[in-house]
Amino acid sequence: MMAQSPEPKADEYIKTGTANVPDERGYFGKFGGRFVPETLMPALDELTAAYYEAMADSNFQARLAHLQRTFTGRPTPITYAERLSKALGGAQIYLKREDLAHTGAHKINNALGQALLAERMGKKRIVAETGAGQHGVASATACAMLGLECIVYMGSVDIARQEPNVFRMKLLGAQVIPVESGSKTLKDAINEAIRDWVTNVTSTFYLLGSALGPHPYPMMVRDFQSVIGIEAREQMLELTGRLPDVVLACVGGGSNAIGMFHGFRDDDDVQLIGVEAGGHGIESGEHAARFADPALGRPGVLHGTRSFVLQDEDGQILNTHSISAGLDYASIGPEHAYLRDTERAFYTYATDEDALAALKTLSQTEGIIPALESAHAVAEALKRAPLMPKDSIVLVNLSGRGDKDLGTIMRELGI
Amino acid sequence: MNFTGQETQKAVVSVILTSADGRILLQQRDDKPDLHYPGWWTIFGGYVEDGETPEAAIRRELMEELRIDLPVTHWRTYDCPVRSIPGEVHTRNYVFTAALDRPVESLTLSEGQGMRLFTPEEAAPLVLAFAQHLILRDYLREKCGLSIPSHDDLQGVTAIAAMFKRAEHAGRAAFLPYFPIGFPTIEESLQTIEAMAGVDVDGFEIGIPFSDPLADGAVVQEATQIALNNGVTVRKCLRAVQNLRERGVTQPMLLMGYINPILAYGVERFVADAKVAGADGLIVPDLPAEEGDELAQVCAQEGMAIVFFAAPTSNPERIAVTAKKATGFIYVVTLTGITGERSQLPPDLTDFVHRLREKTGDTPLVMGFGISKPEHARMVGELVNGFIVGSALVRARKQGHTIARDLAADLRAALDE
Repeated sequence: MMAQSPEPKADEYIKTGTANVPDERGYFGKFGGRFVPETLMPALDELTAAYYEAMADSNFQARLAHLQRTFTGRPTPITYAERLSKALGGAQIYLKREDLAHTGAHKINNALGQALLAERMGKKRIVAETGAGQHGVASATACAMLGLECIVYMGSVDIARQEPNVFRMKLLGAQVIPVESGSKTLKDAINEAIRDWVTNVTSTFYLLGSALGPHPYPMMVRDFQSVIGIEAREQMLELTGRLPDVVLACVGGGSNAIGMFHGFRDDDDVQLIGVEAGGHGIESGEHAARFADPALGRPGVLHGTRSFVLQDEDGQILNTHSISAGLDYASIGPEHAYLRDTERAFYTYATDEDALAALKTLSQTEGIIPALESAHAVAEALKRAPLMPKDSIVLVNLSGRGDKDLGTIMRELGI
Repeated sequence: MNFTGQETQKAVVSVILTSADGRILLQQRDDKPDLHYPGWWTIFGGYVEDGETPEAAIRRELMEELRIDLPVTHWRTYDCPVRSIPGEVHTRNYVFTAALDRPVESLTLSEGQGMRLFTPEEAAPLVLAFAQHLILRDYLREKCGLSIPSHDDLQGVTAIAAMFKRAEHAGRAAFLPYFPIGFPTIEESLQTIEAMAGVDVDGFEIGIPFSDPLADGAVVQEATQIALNNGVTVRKCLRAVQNLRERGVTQPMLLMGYINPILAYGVERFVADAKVAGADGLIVPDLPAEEGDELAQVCAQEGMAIVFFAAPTSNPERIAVTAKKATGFIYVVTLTGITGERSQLPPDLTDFVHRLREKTGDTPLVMGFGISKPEHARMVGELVNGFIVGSALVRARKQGHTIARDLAADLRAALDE
């Protein structure tokens, strides 16, 4: 059932669509902006200018499109989850297969785009942060292919729980630097990557992995990921003759979701739903659901952008919990806060338990082992589809594959 | 405070209680986290209830709080705005005086965690809840003949300007140590700051700990994490500043903290409370001038300084924007990087300062990042109006209180050579 999409034209891959956000200061409504040390401000100006120049350059876009096709393996297919849909007895479920992109997740879309931009700017040294290791692997991959030096900051707690990805990064020639500060997870890896960037700003490009951080990152990452939504919209029209009723995506920082949503944001009848990590449940306080817990998730500033942030009363950033390292983060991309504010998108959550159950179900009905992150989106589909009519359509962004999570899954399921 | 005219007029009453030997009885508020000004000293008093005269109200309060009935004399009425709880408005404060007719030991305190008699000299430097020290100081001037410099005359931007003038008269740059509240404990951090005040440093950058200090190097990261583990909050940092003022630290103090805790506290409330506590300005390392308008506006209203940064990477346009928005001084980052000691400072600092001066005019320049030795102090002292040392002092403090004080003394003495 693989869709044969027509050869994409270069300028379709990256466009800001009709989205009139962010404004020139990087604000999505009241979210976004640039809260960074002065030392980085000129670098952000330089990056913004270089990004706009690249976007306007058809050679750059053609090169990116070519590599997406020949290196990443785009377009990724859409799979009709026939047995799962039948079993649920409601809406028909379709999966956008970002798990089939090179390196096994959507992260490569952004890593490739930014690495090409770094090359164009003459920056030979790349720093990146990683939580689960997917963005680190994608960055290391893009850098290896382009011959760039790659340094990945990773919390020592994450290094211990994502060992295979650490090995992959090293094999790809990247230097993995363990971060021992704070909670020793993604948040601290970002702090450390920013500190490196501040120190080496003239020679170094910071390859940020999600739709987070100071302007222009949330915009740039969204644009590089929007290939997901643009392809998916076209593929759905071709496969089903219409647009889906509901589009689901998991939201950590929110890059796969924003890339998917972007393709449908002008289609008012398509409901966009982001799924946060509910961890051990909202009432437990051990989660990464910035929107679902009004007691802990409030507007604030983390890592250079104003968005919803899990914080204590005193404005100290809280440690988060999710079974999936990729969703285990205290803030959320500012455009999601904006989409929620303007009610263009809605947000819910799935717990660790929901995600594990969904992972098992999808594996056994469709032969697809999703990443634990993506399993959160699948979990929402399992809840929602039975309540919807049979002729309705749910599209799930299957943002990554589950191989990296086998250790966790085996431990959790007691296999 | 800005009154919209829409507030419900809320009258309060206060009473300055004096003992036979001329001391003043003050009350210490309860130490509950949900209470405003927890643990702060205050003048006895409370709200006027509906239908009550002010005199009846204060006699009722005395009965409720101390179980005594005393004749009171109306001394003064303060119309707004003696500062109050944000969001609530006391438009009028009727202040009474009363002479205690019995020893303090025989009084029963039924509100607050304690009370104490203060001599006029002891009371003068106190910073009271709701800024009632402004009332108390008027009383001390008028009734006790104390000469107390007016607080507002020399706070905020004015105090910082005076600091630079004093250093300039002495033909040297100003030295501002950085030290975080709560390292290694709250009390010990206060002692260290107090000790540095004693070796004639010119001002202080007082660190408010944050969980994610992305502009700081390992030394400050570790110290502020210890401070957080010690339970330090923004509120406790403000109280620490107040405490330092009460201990007689007179140098300007600028609070250095990241933006999120300030937002969580509330920008207006933070600036107002920082001022009441006795701080003079703010330094927010993750707030570039472009994002700083709201905070700058509130600081301007309160006369507090807001310091913005210039870095070696800043281009002339950015330097011009920073110079326009900064008050107090411009924080000049010596190097591209994070805080932390360096064995050598960049060689091209002179050019950098010349570049800055073209755009910054008379605004004082204060250098920081990497400065750690007396020889650095001498070098930057020639170039700019002041400098900040942080990591080196924090590291010295790890070895002991006197080592930190001695390093501060050495850095300060280097400027006299």
